[in-house]
Amino acid sequence: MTERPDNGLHLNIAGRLTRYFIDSKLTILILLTALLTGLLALYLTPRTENPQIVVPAANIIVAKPGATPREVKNLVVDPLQAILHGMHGVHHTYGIALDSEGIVTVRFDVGQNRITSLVRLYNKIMSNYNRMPPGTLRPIIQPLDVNQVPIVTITLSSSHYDPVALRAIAVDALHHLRRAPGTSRSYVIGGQRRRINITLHPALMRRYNVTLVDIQRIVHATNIDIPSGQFINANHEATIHAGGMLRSAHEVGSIVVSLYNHEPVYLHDVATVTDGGGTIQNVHFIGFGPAYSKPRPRNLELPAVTLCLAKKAGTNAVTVANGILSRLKELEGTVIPPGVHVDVTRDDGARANSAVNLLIHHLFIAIVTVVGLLVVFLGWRAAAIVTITIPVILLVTLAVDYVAGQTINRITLFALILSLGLLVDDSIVVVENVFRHYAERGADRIRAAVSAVNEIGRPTNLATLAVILAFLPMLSVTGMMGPYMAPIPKNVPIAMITSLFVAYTVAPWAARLWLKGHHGPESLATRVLRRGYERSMRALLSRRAVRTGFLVTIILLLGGVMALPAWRVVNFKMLPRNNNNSFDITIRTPAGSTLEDTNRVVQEIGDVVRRNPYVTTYQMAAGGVGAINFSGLLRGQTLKTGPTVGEVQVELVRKSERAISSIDIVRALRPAITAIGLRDGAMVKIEQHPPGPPVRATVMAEVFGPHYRKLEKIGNALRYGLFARTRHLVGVDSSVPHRSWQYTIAVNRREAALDGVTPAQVAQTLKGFLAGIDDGTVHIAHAKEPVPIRFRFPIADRMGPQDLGKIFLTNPEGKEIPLSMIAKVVRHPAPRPIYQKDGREVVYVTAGMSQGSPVYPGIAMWQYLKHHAVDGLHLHQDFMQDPSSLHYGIRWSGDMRLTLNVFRDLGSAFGVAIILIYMILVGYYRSFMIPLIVMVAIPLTLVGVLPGHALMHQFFTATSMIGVIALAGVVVRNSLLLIDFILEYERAGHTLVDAVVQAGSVRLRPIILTALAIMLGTAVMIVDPVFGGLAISLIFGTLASTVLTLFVIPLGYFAYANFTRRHMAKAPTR
Amino acid sequence: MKRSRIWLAGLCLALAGCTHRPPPASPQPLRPTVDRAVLALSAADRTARGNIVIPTDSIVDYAGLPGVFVLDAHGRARFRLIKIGKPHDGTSEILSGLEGNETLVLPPFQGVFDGSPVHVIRTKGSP
Repeated sequence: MTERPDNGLHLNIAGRLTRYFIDSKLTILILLTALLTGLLALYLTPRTENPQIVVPAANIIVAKPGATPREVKNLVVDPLQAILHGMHGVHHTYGIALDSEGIVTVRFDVGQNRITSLVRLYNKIMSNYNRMPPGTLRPIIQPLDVNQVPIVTITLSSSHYDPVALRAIAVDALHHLRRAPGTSRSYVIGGQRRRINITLHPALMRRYNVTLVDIQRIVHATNIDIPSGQFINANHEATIHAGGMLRSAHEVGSIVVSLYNHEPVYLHDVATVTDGGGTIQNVHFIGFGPAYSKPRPRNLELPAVTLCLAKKAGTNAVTVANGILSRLKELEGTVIPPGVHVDVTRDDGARANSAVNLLIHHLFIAIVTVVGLLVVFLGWRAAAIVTITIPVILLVTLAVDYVAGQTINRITLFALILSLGLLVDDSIVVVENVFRHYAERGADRIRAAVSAVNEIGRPTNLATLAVILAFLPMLSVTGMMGPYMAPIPKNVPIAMITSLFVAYTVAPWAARLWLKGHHGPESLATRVLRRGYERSMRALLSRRAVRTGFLVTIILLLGGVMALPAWRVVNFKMLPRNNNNSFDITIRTPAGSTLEDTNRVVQEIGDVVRRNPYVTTYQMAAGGVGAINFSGLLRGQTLKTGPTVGEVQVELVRKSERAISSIDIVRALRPAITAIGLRDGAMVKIEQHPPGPPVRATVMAEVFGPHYRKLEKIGNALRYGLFARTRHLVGVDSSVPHRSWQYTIAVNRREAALDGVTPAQVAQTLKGFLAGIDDGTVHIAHAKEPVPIRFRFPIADRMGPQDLGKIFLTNPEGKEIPLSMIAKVVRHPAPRPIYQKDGREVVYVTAGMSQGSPVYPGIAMWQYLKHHAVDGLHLHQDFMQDPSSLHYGIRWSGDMRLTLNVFRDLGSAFGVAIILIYMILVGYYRSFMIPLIVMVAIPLTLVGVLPGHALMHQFFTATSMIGVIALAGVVVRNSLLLIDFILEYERAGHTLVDAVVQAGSVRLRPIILTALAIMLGTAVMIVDPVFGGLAISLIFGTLASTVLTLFVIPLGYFAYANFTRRHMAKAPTR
Repeated sequence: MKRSRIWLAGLCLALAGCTHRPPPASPQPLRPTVDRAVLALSAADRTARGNIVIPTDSIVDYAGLPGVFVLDAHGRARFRLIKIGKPHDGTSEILSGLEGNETLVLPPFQGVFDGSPVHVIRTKGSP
């Protein structure tokens, strides 16, 4: 080691790095540290199925009893939206003005800090508290948070425990389960809360002359217990409680409510007091499909309750879920009695884990494929060197993710698979060149290796930089798609930088140890390829006509390929649907339907679902929704309650274990489910989990305009006209409700005043009679949920308006006054809710898609509305901005708008990437023309990409577009090295023709090798429904571009060099 | 030599591509056919208010939920949730849950499960 290998050589960064690390002990330490940190990161990093998208949002619910929707809109929703709209970071506000209640949903921009957004929201509302109109109740702010979405749901079902008992078991079990580390919000769906029901009998009450108001007052006064001081005696202090809490239904029944003929009247004399569930307001069932693998109950469907557990932000869904499920095992048979069926109906931990593991598996397949390719092309030794660099680079990237607080998710792993094809390049180039040097000299191994790395340092740096620059602009994608895709532009550059470092340190170090420096005989295939290439290249170069013909053909080919989307051979879509393990069916029965009606529709849908062989379980809910999921949360599912709401959540066999995709299962079920909806007049929608960020609806038209009535008319005209007619649209719905009726009890004020009864007394009595009144709770020591006391009248006594005659009021003189004497019942249409978006009245018309892309029905509807009037009006249409508030207009929204936004963002990212690449190339070549020749390779990729999509019958999706952007970096690298060699051969004194042919022929092998590495590395992705587009783009784009680049780039340079030479030759004569 | 390497790589791929089998579906439970009388509801079973009246003993309590067993198109007894109104002389008014064209399975309900096949021994008209 007396002689440093750098004498006589000016070393660049690459060379210097290599010189330092090639014989250093540090190299092996770095290698080991990288491997260990990476493995640790792989184990520790939280796993999720998709990247977590932070969209702070909240519902603000303001009640103003008695106000009509119009009043609520004017007094509550409008001012509230105006206040919120002025807040920083607010994206949209959505308002609904209902009868007596206003709801405003505020959505912050994607990526805003959740905590600060919510704190600011509270602050804003509290500081405007004084502006609330009189009569409004305190606003309720419900944050909508991803971390509220349960990651584990457990359904308990039984045929003999009643809803109250089952719920009690569930609450008890939940109490144990929520001790698992990392859990946050947890709750129980279904079953019935325990209540003390006081069913009052109007006839008996009249007989004993007691009124509801009396009874309520007495019960309230009895149910009291106040700590009232202490007794101190004999150095001892004892606290005193005065009063006496009610502790059971029996105690409640024994309250004396009145005196009648000097005899006490007990509550149980005028009412039936029971301890139980009371009126059923929602039901929850579980059904078992053909693929159910646990012992089946004898009933087809069982009444059920579902325990929902969410996790804390930043915790690992896998470990939290495992903690919960292992605790569940202990509870079975003890807290959960043996007769209760236990089914885990959602396990996001397992889902994330299997999604991640599947992709790690795919990553291995990709690595094995690439290694196989290297072995074939480079031989065992060189392949081994490149192979050890692969895990190092991937694991370092994962370690960086862990440190940066990212999760491991599907997109991260797709980014790694994508970078696999790119990251072997640097090492291949280094090892190839070292190999060449060893073969030539065979003298000092260290010196030869250093000079080999030094030689290719500059172009390799540049090529890697080009790839990084192609990806970085993707970070600027806006909306929810930004954070969703972010792992790609974050991980690929990290992997590229690491690969560059590893290629300059580990690769030469390993090459020095293992690489043997002698050429084996050139394989037959490469020889044939090389000869063929040289011959055709010379043929092209020798005749101008052939050359022109070739270029014209290429241009025509490019033009023809660009026409494919216009001819609809290639269709656009944001993201294709994903193959999932579950899907939801939401049901909304017509206004005025009862819980029983809704449950019947839900049951019919359950019957259809149960026939599908891939269904394991399905949970049905009527009168409310089941366990919420992320897309449901953003769709506003949490606000849906009432007897007309229902849901069926279907769980399928795991996707790795079923031959058919959930998309096909849904397609098979759809006709029967739609038929049920049509027959019962119910709105039935099948909601599949979106592959990317969720939207409120796939196709959505927001109709804006000055008059709400007119908007509703236009909405209905669109819903039953244009939308119903357009092909492939399913589940067409609008925010315009069906007509329903309500009764108003109009108190005759004069009569009431004469009889000494106040309207408030009437209202209070009516509420007790119809809705029931909760007043206080009984105190049961071991009850885990409060047990309210509820006053109500038997259901049979309150079926219709005619029953109101049974109600009597007592005036201060003790005289009984029948309600019918002072009030009249009037039937009139129920007030309709008013919807608002960003402070403007809006009617939504929505639809889902049975198949295909929402882009094309969207375009068809746009074209139609451009030429046709709706409800006598010509509508202005907009995609990006809100239509003017003076005219009636439509803004197209939903999935289609997201598609447009994403393609717009990715398109601009592509543009920026191209400009950046051009700029560094100009810096490198110090020429404005040569970079253009190099970059000709970029449009050539389209020759492969678009026909590739047509061939594979795939949509051109956002991931395809990412592929196109990635290709820009990849192909520039090949043409860069090609031009570099041509320039070098020219400098070495070869003729132009020779330099061009030679460069192509020498670079042929590495170019084909790297192209094959990318194609084979990404081939494993092609089966993925979402990222298949990326794989198609990369495979076909690389194929076309590589083949064409090998001819077009040298030809382009040839033409350019010829031109400049002629120009230069002419110039001096002038 | 080289060909054998390719085969080896192919074998690795094939091994890696293998996936595990799903757990077998459990067999359908024993739901023996029951012999029961049924009641075909008709327009005559309505009250003046339009509600359906059924015999009180045909109401079942399914784990605390009130309902009836309705004979479905496949001849099976299916649970149907109902809202019960006023009882009157062995009959009950049903406020919601029945349309009036159903066929109810009559008691005894011992051995009748949700989904039990029913062998109709007698069809009654109105009560």
